[in-house]
Parts: sequence; structure tokens; C-alpha cells
Amino acid sequence: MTPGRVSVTARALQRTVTAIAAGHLGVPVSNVSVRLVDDGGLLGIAVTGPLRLPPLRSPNRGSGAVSRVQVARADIRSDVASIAGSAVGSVTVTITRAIVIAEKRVR
Amino acid sequence: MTEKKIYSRLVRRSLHRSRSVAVSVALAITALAAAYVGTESVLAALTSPPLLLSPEAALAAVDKPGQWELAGAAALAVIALVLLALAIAPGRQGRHEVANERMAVVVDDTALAGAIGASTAAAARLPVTRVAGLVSRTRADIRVTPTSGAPLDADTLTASASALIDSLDLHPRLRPRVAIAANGVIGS
Repeated sequence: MTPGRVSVTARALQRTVTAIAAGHLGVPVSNVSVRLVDDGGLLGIAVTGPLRLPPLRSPNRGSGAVSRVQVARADIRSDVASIAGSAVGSVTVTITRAIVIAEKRVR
Repeated sequence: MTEKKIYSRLVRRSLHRSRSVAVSVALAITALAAAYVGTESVLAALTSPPLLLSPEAALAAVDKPGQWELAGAAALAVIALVLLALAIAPGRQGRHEVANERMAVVVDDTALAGAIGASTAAAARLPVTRVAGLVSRTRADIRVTPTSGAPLDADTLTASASALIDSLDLHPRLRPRVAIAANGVIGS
């Protein structure tokens, strides 16, 4: 065991998780707020922000909003575990609004 | 006396509180009381007026105690109990002996707690501020606050604390106990 240790400040961790969450919600980092809490010794994550969705009457709507959030939640969990190296506890995602993807006409 | 005996005596004296202060105070008070009783007896024998209380009056007070006499007796009983406790209690100083061939070495328990805490913090890869140690006569209690998302293994930390304690060869023996707090702290 080499002497010394690696320390990651709470702020660095919070910024990292914010960037990961914003990526999976498909929205800018500035729109997302992340609160880190202790979840019985694990890292608890509470994300609040918008979700990027296709227009309602779009032909390529993909999956529903709720299942998109579920996927984002799972992806946030695995990415935080692999990037920050933390054991993740509960991940709570609160969606406050939708950011609709502007579809361009195919020329 | 051989050197070894001198050292063990020195160590014993450092591990236990001396009773000399309590003994001196108790003896001084007893001497004063005896001198007073002697003075009153001599004054009574010369049929001079007493300083405070003639021996006859004192004996009468013992036969028929009033409330002041009873209060005084109770105070004396309390003092007696305190002196008994001082005499019987081991008067430990919160120190441990470190076995050494050439010197008599005694370490304060707070210093031991600091050393064990620092080594546990290094083993857990945590800052020293997140580890608190408390050393009593036979136990070293170490409380560790983990970083959220970085679980710690109490057995590993206990083993590392054990290794340090064994290397010091303390007397009386210390048994380490590592307790990891249920809730961690964000960031490290």
C-alpha cells in the first residue's frame, strides 16, 4: 500500500454528478441542479432539472417520458459509480419541465 | 535493588496516583485535633476556663447529641468515606507502559489514542479529522466516519489497529474496537 490518499472535495463530486445527470437528461448543465446526500453510508443523489423530449406529434417519438427518466436514472447511477468511483445509494430524479427537441425539415 | 526492579517501581509510580497528598492532609488534621484535645485537657486539669469546650461538656455532648453534633458527625463520616475511597481505589493515571528492555517507558492514553487514530485514518485513507480514538485501561475505541459511497471494512481497520498495538507491546493490554459510523460525509 503506497502512503497517502486521494481526496475528492464535495464540490468537485457535485459538479461531476451534475454533468453526468445533464448528459443523460439531454439538457444543458446550467439547467440541472444536483444535491448529494448521505444514504446510510452510500452516496445519495437528488437531481432536479428538465427533460429533453421530442415534439408530441413527432413521428419518431421514441419511448415515453417516464421510461426515459427511468433509463436516465439507471445511467446516472452506473456512470457515477464508474467515473467518481462511489457506491451509489438512492437516485431521485425530479423533472420540472420538458425541453422540446426542435425538429428540422428534411430538405 | 536491581535496575529492573527500579524500573518496574518507577513505572508503577507513573501509572498510579500517589497517596502522599491525601495522607499528609489527613495526618495534619489529625495532629491539629489531637493538639486541641490535649490543650483542653491540660486547661481542665489546671481548672482554667476552656478555650471552646471543656472535656466534661464534650463527653456530655457525645452522650446526648444535639442537631449540631449530629451534623458534625455526618460531615466526619463523609470525610471518612472519601478517605477510604482514596485509600482503596487504584488511582490509575490513564497511562500505559510500553515494554522496553533498556528504559522505563510510559505513554499517556491520549497520546496512544492519537497514534492509533492516525494509523487507522491512514489505513482507511481518510483525513485524521474523521477518526476519533478513545483509550481506556483495556480498550481502544476508534470511531470512523466514512466518506459517502466509499464503504469501509471494520475488520480490516481493526486488524491494522491491532498490528500497531501489538508492535507497541503495551501493558496493560489494549483491545482495539473499530466502530464505523452508519452515516458518512459527502466528499473527503
